[in-house]
Amino acid sequence: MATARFIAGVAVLTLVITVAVLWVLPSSTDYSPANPRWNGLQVIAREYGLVGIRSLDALPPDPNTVLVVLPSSPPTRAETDRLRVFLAGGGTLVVMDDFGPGNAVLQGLGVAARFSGQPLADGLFNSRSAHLPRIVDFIPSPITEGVGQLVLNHATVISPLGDLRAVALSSPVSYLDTNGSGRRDGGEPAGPFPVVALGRVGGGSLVLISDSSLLLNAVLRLGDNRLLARNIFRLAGERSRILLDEVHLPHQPLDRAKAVLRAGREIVSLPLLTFILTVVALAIPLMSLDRPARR
Amino acid sequence: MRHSFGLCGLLAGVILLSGCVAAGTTSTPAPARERVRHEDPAAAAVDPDPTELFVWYLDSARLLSTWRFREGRLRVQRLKLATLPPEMESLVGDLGRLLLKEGSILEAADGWFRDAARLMAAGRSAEAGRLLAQMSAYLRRGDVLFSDIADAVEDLARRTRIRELPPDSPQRQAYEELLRVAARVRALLTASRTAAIDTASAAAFAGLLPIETRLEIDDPGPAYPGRRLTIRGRAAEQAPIPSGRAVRLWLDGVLIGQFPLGPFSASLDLSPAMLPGAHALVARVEAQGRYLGAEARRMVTVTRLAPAVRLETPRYGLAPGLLTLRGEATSQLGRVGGGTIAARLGPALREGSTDREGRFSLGLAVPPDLNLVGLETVTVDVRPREPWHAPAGTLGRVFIINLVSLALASFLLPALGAVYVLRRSMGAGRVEETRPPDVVTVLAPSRAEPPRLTVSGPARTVVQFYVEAQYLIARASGIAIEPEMTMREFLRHSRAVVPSAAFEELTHLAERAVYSAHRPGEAAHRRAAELLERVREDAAHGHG
Repeated sequence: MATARFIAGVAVLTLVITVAVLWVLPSSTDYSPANPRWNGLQVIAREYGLVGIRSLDALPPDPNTVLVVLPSSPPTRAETDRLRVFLAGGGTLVVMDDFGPGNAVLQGLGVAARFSGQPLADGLFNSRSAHLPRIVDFIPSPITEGVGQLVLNHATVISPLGDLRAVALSSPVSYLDTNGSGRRDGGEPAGPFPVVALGRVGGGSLVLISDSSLLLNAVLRLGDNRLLARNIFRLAGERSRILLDEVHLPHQPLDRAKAVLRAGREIVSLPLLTFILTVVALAIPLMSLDRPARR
Repeated sequence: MRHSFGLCGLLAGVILLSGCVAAGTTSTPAPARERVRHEDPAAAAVDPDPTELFVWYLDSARLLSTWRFREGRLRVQRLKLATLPPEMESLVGDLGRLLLKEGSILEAADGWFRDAARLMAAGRSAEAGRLLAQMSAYLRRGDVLFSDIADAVEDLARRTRIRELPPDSPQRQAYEELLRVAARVRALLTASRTAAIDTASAAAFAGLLPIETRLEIDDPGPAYPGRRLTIRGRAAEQAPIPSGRAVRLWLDGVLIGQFPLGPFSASLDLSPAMLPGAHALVARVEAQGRYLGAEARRMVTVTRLAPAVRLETPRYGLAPGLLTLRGEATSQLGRVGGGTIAARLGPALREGSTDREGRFSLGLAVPPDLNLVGLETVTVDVRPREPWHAPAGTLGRVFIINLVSLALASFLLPALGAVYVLRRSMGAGRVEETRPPDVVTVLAPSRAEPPRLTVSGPARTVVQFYVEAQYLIARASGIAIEPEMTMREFLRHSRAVVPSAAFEELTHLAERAVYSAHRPGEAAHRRAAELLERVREDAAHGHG
């Protein structure tokens, strides 16, 4: 009996500590809204109440909604159909990609614009490194109002533009570092290149940014990146809802564990279950009080 | 000790197990080899490439040497945003300032030559001569500045080791081209100085200058999606023979019109889907032979106007009941016809639409919701149909008389009153159950004084008997009753001197009366009185 109690105690304690550690331990996954480190999205998620969606089925065709897609895995046909419906409903879709499968999203949407996939570098206008180019040329547009400079982080360029309009261009001394030398060599294409584009697609607004890192905690505070993000989110109105596509983000086991815990908390926070748990929590000490004391 | 070890072992085991689970969830699978998508900006290696400066300076010099002075100056100023090695910042700053001054001198000389030519054509040769004399001094300064620029460029070339780069590298090629453009600028300066010597040479020189084109766009004011926007401007070239060129006008990169030089005006219906915010309006006249090109830019601010919504609400309403709301939505762009109206009061929602005049009238069914009572807020949102109108809304206040609350109150208040009266009448028999817990304070400051007693409730009698007995025993045994001493401690001390079975039993009775939930009854009181008498005898005889 004592051994069984001991084992049960250890199991319960282990479970409680594990749950507590998993709950408290911050995520370190790239682009995770729960990640407070440099490569997470916690800052923007908190500032704009970014809501992560785990299925594009939940996407409302609402003109006051902005969906941010940072694709790390290609979308399915059904998912791109959902995105088309979302755009047709007047929504604002922001696709941020550099070397990921962003072109699969654009292809699915029937848009001619593409991310070139070649690394953009600038030896003169940058933040420390040529692969962190500083963008200083802007064309007046609703999303570049007040923006004086942007800092990208291992970005590419948008080429071709299709029907979209370039609103931010890299400097004339920027180049595509096709051989990865970190220096402009003869034959490498030279700028300016479009890095942010905007257009109306199927009744909605489409924003392309040729850098998946612009919203990261450490990158958001550079230049006027935060202002660009604010302007983009305001495309859908002052009280817009900002959604983040978490379906195509990278996931670590910790994120999956946290998701399970969050789901558990949601179930537990249902009124009926909360009531039952409260009653049980009150009943146990009352029952032990009623038990005769041992001499 | 054994317990402590066991506990430590248990904790270590639990922490180890938890750690293993947590570590398992944070471990990252080995990533496939792919291109770096980002790096920590704070940890990025600083590697500016100052040889790119020559590419930048070449662009600036080309603009300055082709009479695009303003663009050239802006290009030089843009270098403030460049990332440079700290040891070159000062040099690049100086070079930038020199280039800006040189650009200003070139622009001023160009303007003065043209003015001098106009003065001479008007027969005002004396004034033209004075202007040329002034310009000559200015151009000498430009010559000196040019030498400083050449020195600074040479210094920069030495520091960046540009000549060590391969001949086909873009930076090296830009440096060599920059030297050639600089030579052309110097030749232009020299020619200008020579031409400024006399009016005839100046007139001849001015005749060789490229022909300017002036282009302006008026501020179009605010624009609204779906409405007409009129853009006006003017383009002129100061040439004896018209070039026959055209002004082209673009909005957001889309060509919206083409006009001959002179005043121009374009009207276009903006797309209803046009996004609110800044939009780029660009007019351009292309360069052609001696005729310089020109470009003018304006920002068009597209906005949606929020209509003013007027709402009339009744002063009060009933719940449940029907609340009639009236009002109208208008803006300076006209009435909001066919717009959707949504009126809300608590959980009640009613949608309708405005008529052609922008007026609306809605009957909002107020539900029998207990929360709706007193002064409540009615929200009316208007979603206009016109693309130039933004959604708008207004608030109204209505006093809600909740019939359900009134009915409940009229039933519940008498019922509660009746319950209260009933409880009052039955209250006597239940007083004991609601009595406060017993409070006992026993203070015995010294052997000389009898203990002071504060006690309430049914424990009073038993404890009184105990205190009296304790005083007797203390006096007989000579043991001081210390305030911090428990009943049991006093019993233990006194037992050795005055053993009394009665006092021992009385102590137990008193403990039960004071510390347990058990309330002493009549039997306990009687027993305590008997025991006190026996303690009195024991204390008198000094034995148990």
